[in-house]
Amino acid sequence: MKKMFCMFAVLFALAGEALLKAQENQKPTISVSSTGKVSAKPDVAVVFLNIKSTAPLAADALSQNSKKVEEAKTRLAALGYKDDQVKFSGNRFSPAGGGMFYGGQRPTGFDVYNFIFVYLDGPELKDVNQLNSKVSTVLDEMGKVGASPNETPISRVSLGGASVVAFTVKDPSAFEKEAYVQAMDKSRPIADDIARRMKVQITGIESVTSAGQARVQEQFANPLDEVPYQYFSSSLEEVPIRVSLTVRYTYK
Amino acid sequence: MVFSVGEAKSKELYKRASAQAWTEVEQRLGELAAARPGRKLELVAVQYDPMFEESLIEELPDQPKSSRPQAVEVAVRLRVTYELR
Repeated sequence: MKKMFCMFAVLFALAGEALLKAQENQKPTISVSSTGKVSAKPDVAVVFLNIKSTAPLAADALSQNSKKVEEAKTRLAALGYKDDQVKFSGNRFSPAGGGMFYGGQRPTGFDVYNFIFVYLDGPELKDVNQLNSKVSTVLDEMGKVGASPNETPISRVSLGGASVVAFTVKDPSAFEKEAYVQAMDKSRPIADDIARRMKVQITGIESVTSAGQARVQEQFANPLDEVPYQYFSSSLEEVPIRVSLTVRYTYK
Repeated sequence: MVFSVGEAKSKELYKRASAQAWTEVEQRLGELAAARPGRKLELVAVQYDPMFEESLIEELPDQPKSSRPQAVEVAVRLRVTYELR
């Protein structure tokens, strides 16, 4: 297979006395951006649902939605879900229809919505049939009170499309450390290769900075922001945990 | 369908792309030096950024990939900061 590759070379000239003075105290460096990725077996699944009510008056929409939320709580308790396995975001208001209102126009009504998060962290995570059965039961029971699945993409594009279930890990610290080591290990040979071309030698590491994991940015409220976990996947098999670093090497 | 390469090939492609970028940097530094006789260009920082490494589809590994069987592309960016003395 014929391979192609692209490259970009960008040069920056430092100009101005102030900048030059700032540089005088700075050691010359080679910075390498690198990413480490490890996969973790998920130990919790989150089902995302949304209860919404619409009425011409905000107070009516709120009243209707509060009743639905109470009924949802009752039904989830009847299914055996404990308080710590269910979270509600609280009722929020938005103009009905989600349109733009110019020139002081008023919306024709109000939506009141409340996200529901149902956490599954039992033996069902080891048996996909059991998991699917539990998820189906939750969806059907919640459908009876007017709740609908939330279709927000979990984290990235998945081959399975948007899912109402996200898989995550409760404590990612060990996996983050492994990904960090992987990123560090990847960066050093690259720095050595650049140093060789520059005819210099790496003398140490001046700094390591990590960048946060990129998440799909939504214009609207994203229920993922309200879940106390950082890494999500739509796959029961693995949750990818990425750590991106910039390692700044000194040389002489 | 997506075409990709293994980890070893991926490393090799990035290495080749990095070498090409460095060659271009050297050429441009040479041109800059030639345009300023009597002055010296001194490198103070080099920044290496691999591009398109991460998979947008979470089930696929973070390897370079392409929709064409003939070519898999990788890109790196070398950002060089120099002082003019």
